Amino acid sequence: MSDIGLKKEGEARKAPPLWLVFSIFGVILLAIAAVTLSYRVKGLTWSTLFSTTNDEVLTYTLWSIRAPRLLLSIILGAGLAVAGCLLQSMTRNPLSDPEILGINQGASCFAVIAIVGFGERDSSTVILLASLCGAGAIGLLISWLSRYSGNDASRLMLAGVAISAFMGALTTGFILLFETQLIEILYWMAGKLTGTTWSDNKLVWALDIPALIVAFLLARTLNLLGQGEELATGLGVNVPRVRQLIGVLIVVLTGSAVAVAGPIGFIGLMVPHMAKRLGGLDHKVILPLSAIMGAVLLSAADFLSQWLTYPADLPVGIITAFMGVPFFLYLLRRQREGHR
Amino acid sequence: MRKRKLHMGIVFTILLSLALAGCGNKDQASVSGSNTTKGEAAPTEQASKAVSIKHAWGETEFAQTPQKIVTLDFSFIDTLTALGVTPVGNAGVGKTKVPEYLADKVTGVADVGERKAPNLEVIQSLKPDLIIASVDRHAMIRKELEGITQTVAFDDASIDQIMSNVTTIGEMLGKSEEADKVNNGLKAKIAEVKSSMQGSPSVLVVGYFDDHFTVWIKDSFIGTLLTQSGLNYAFNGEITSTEGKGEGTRMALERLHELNPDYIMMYGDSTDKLKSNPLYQDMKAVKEGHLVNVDRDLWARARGPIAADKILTQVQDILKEKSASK
Amino acid sequence: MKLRKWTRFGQIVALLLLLLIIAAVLSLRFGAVNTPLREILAELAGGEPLVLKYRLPRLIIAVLTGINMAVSGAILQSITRNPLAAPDIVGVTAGGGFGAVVVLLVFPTWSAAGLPIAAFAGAVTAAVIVYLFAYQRGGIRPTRLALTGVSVSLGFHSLITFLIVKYALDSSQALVWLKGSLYARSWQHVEMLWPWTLGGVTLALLSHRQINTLQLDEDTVTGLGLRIQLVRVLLLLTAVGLSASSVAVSGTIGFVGLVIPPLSKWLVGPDSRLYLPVSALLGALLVTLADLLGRVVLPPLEIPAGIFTALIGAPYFIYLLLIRRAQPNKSRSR
Repeated sequence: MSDIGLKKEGEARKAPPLWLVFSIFGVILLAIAAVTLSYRVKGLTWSTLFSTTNDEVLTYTLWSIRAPRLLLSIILGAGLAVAGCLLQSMTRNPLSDPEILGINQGASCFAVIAIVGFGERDSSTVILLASLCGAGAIGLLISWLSRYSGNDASRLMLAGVAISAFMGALTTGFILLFETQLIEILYWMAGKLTGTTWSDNKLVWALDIPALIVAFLLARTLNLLGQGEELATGLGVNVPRVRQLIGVLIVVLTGSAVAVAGPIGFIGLMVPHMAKRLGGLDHKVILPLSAIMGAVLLSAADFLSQWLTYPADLPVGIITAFMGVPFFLYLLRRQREGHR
Repeated sequence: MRKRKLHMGIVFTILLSLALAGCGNKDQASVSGSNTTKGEAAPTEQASKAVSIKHAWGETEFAQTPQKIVTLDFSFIDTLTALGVTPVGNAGVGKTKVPEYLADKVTGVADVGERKAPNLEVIQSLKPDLIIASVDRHAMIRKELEGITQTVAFDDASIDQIMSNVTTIGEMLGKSEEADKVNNGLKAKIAEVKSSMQGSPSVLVVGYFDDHFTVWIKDSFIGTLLTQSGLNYAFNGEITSTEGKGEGTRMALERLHELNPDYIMMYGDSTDKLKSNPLYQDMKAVKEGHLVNVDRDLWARARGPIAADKILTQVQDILKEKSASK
Repeated sequence: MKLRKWTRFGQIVALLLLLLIIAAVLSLRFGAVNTPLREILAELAGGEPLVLKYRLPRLIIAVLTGINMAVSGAILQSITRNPLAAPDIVGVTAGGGFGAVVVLLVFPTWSAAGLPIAAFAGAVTAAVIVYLFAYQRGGIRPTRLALTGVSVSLGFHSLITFLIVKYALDSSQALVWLKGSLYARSWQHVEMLWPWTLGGVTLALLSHRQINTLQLDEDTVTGLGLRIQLVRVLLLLTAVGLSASSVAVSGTIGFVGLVIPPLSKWLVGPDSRLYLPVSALLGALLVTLADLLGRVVLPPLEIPAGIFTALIGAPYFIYLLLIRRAQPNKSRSR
């Protein structure tokens, strides 16, 4: 991974070999999966697991409730983490995240308008389209802004905060006008994974897998971009086109997540940093690593969200926020050490 | 420099004069019953004796029977209607100004806004001589309400409270006889339901939205009503949910399945999604066909004697079906 | 040259005052209940107090809130040298909102009296946290302040969401107060607010020279020594006081502090003697209009003023962002 020649201070210490890192995370993911699937499932014993069982409830719980939810948290975790990675590269700002920059809120605002305005919570296609539009609109805005904000990290952040405030106001305005559906929407807006179905999964996997693949293929280009736009252009990269493509990927990954689970933030903030610490700066490494770390993080968070305050459950977006905000502060403190 | 000072001076003077103009009126807000009776609509009894009413916000004396009443929650307009009185204004929720089950009995009621934020200007413009408010919801605007006219506040969390409100409000409006009639009628109906019941089937009132269930607790209005009618209300809230004023708990299907009541009165989303879920199919109520769809507005939102009566009628019908099918 | 600057200033102030008076009259005239002018005059002569009881205090609070938030934003933008700074962003409004929500949902019995206090306490706490985190030896670097503000804001917003979801059944009232509404505000609220407005604006105006200095680049400022750093802190406190008191009384009315200062700088230039009063007037105008709209659009329903300030403010803000690419603080003075 160091043959690309990108070096940074702090890179001097020896990073653990890649295969070890990936395997460890793979194992962790499997462990989380096992625990999530089996925690407090009545009637689950080793024998019933391996023999065909007539217990309908058991089968149903495992296959129609736990499994889809687990799978969704895995793909969303991966998608959001990679989206964060892409976003941080595109804005050249290590503090970027779809939630902080308002992309999540844009998507959910449009989605709420769709839910409330069309009164159909079951028309997932409409919600998905609305969500993608919202994410797209804000994504476009952010992309414009990031070109012109130069080296000042805070400008973009503040713009993002203002944008999320605006979208939040719009959303709340709508909700207040349609108060009868208030409670249900409020819950959704904190980002939740309850009630996941196989069709949700189909939707998201169908969108995210191609997006992830394209992202992985772009790794080399991203590396070049990271060295500066002029340099990249000089090396033959069509910068505007690539930026557009990255933007589309971010919109797809974020929009699909919001459409299905509401706005879940901070995965895109935390995971790329952790991935870079372990894997260096080569996007060929970081992107897959982010994907698997994101999957681990979100599935763990979802597990907590289900069982931390049983029988009530906590929206997973709140758990990621509680993790993410201190992390953000921590990042800020690190910045003082001249990592700008 | 001069110009700026001049400008600041102008701004200041204007603000100051506005403030002074306002300050002069502060002491004029009268609290004790303003008499603007114009001898209109609802004929009320001539109770010329002074009545002193105890309520959640203290004790209020009424020199005369209030004629123009503004109600700020559903249970109050329900109670008034049961007593034969029409308020001049009511606060509703969203598009529902007057609850539907009362709509045919009540007309000509002005809309004073959302019950969570009643419009003070509109209330004042109706020139009421009594406001009936809800203890929890309107605690924040208590002073403002009292600044308009006499205000009383009640809680309406259980059927017993509703009945005692009926008595109190009846006394306040000089309709004590009607109040007793209403209460006795209600008690009779409850007894009727209870006696026609075989055993004491367990029941839960549940809202189903977006894959989650909200279950009303035993101490809620609907819970207490059903309990008094002889049903066994199967859920009294968990420790986690009794902070705040929560009267319902969110729970997942698994937990509902654990509670497994005989009857489930359900409102909300259609249950088609659940049909394939064996946990759902495994519940006693579903197996025996005792999962009944009920109207959300009546069962979850409505409070008051008329509502109670309607709910009990529906309960009777549901139970009759059960005994018919037996 | 100087005379032209002042003449322009005079013209703008006069115009804004006129607009404000018109808005004020409209605000008194219109609402859920129709009050033609003669009724208002009749009231002044001692009739049924509708306008004077409800609309006048509300108008005054709108004006004061607008002044507070705009001036607070102007101060913050000068201190951080960042046109995107505002009380909403430095954690103050989020902290205030959190305090309010805690009282409304967790301790509902304290509501009426406790709400402004809790909101104020929350706002100040948030500001303190931001300050502590942003402080580095020697002072506060503007960028760091902004970023810390963002994260503390986020933190409080998550807490607010958490509480709202937990107490979902009762949260619609919380939302009304959170969104920044002047609903049911009365003379007692006016009394809570105006001392802060007076004090804060006076302090700001008195420090106009320092504010101008702080807008220079960081090295110059550091070179000027400790005294200027102290002034910076003092101004920060003023900004916090202005916005916290406003949040305590009116809830979180956003975008006023964000959008107004750049507009006023564009109108009268970068001299704080000029743009502070103009900001105050513009702020007052914005909030008054927002409140008026909220009351007349769908009576008897009242739409919180905060929603309108967001709807008006945000597109303008985005326009600002898009047209300003280079220096944040260069304004084209005419």
